[in-house]
Amino acid sequence: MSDDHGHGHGHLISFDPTETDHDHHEATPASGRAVRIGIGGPVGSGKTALVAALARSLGERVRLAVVTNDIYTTEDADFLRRNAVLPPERVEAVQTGCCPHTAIRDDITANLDAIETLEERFGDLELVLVESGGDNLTAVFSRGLVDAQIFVVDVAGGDKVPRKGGPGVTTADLLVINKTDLAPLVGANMDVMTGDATRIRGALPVITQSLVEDPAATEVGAWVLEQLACVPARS
Amino acid sequence: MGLTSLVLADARFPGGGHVHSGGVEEAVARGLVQDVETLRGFLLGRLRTAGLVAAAFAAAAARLAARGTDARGTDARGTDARGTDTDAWAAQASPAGAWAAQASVAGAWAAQASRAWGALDAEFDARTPSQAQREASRAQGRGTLRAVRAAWPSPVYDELGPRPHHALLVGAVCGIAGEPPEEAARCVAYLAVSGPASAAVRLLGLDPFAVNAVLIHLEPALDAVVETAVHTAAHTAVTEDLPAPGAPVLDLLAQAHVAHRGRLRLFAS
Repeated sequence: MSDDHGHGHGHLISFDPTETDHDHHEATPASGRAVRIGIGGPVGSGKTALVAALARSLGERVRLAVVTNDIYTTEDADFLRRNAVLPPERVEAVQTGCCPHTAIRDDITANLDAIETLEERFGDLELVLVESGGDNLTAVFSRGLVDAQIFVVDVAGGDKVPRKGGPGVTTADLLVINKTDLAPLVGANMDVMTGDATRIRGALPVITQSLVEDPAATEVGAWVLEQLACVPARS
Repeated sequence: MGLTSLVLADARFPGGGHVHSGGVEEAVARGLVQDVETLRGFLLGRLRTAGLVAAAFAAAAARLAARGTDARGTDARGTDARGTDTDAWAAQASPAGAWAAQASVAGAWAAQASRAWGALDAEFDARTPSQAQREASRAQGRGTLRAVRAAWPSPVYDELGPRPHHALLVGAVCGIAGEPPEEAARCVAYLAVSGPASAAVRLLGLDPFAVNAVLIHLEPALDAVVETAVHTAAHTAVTEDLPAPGAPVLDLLAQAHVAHRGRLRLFAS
């Protein structure tokens, strides 16, 4: 245990429980860090399942870690750990003080702390997935927190969701329409959903998927790898 | 109040404060805070204990940061003056000797300031017996530091380390920005109750107008805390003698809050 915690003096007894977490990072390092991708969307749209699928399909090729913002704090993290998708030390959960959108948009401090903790723990991370707590259609990630973001909506939430728009649907770098296998069961019209989504998003990409039919989330995984390839341009 | 202390006291300030409840989440879980009246008692107790400690240390930090900023400013002005022929500096018989003396004074001041910041940090630790509260204080300091470096750049933060206690950092920023210690003390004393009050609104669905009125009713108590904090920071020769009131139940609530990791927690503290 060090008796010097970084500001030129030592304590007889260290009272700082966090001193073992070395924190030599300047705020928001501009380069030489992992690519950060946010995954947002309404409650139950399949964000955690997508993160699990990506961790499974990319985990062997990409050095990745996950930050979860579930309102129950450890729920998502436990899911990822229990399913042995990622070792526990690669998943950090943050508390959002009942305000999941605040923690990813207006005051990103708790999430930046979690990301930097992971980056310090694993010096060579290539990718950090930040999963937001389930929220509404207006929740988007701050550009100060992530490099790119995926917004996940699901077929069972109603085929009018893309038409309603909102910043998540309209501005996310990728829109995922999830659970397409449920469309016939809930009477959702996929043509309406993809048509509205494409019209409202212009040139921004839309991917429809069913993790029941494609547990590896192949198309989204490929998109994520494309983002990683853009790193030199970004930093 | 100047803009700096206003911004630092604003709930919208992006320093990570919104994820801390100051013990309210645990108090609510145990039925100790259930409504506006029980919240009032909780806030008053918190203000007079944790709030007073934070306010006194913020005032002391503001004084120390202001002295540091002045010392550097004087040095810079001196350097400018030495470059001007008409200035008294140039007329000195031995400018090189004067510079050396000045440099040695600056070095002595730097060492003294470093010791003073270390003493404030250690004494704040000593007044925060709960490890969970120390961690929460340093987590908020770390988050605030990120926001502060972007808005109020200063070399003073290097003295505080990467995880300063929140109250010390807020005090330092106020001092750097030229605000009096009173404003630093008022800012952290207010934050000691405004954050928990907001957490109670979110957790219990309390009437926000009623809770806001409770905060306003705390004004005489808050003024008294600020006065004591400023007075002691100004008249205490040794850091050890700054106020050290304690609220054991707050310490126990903070420890209990982190003890059960599997349990539902919406706030970091």
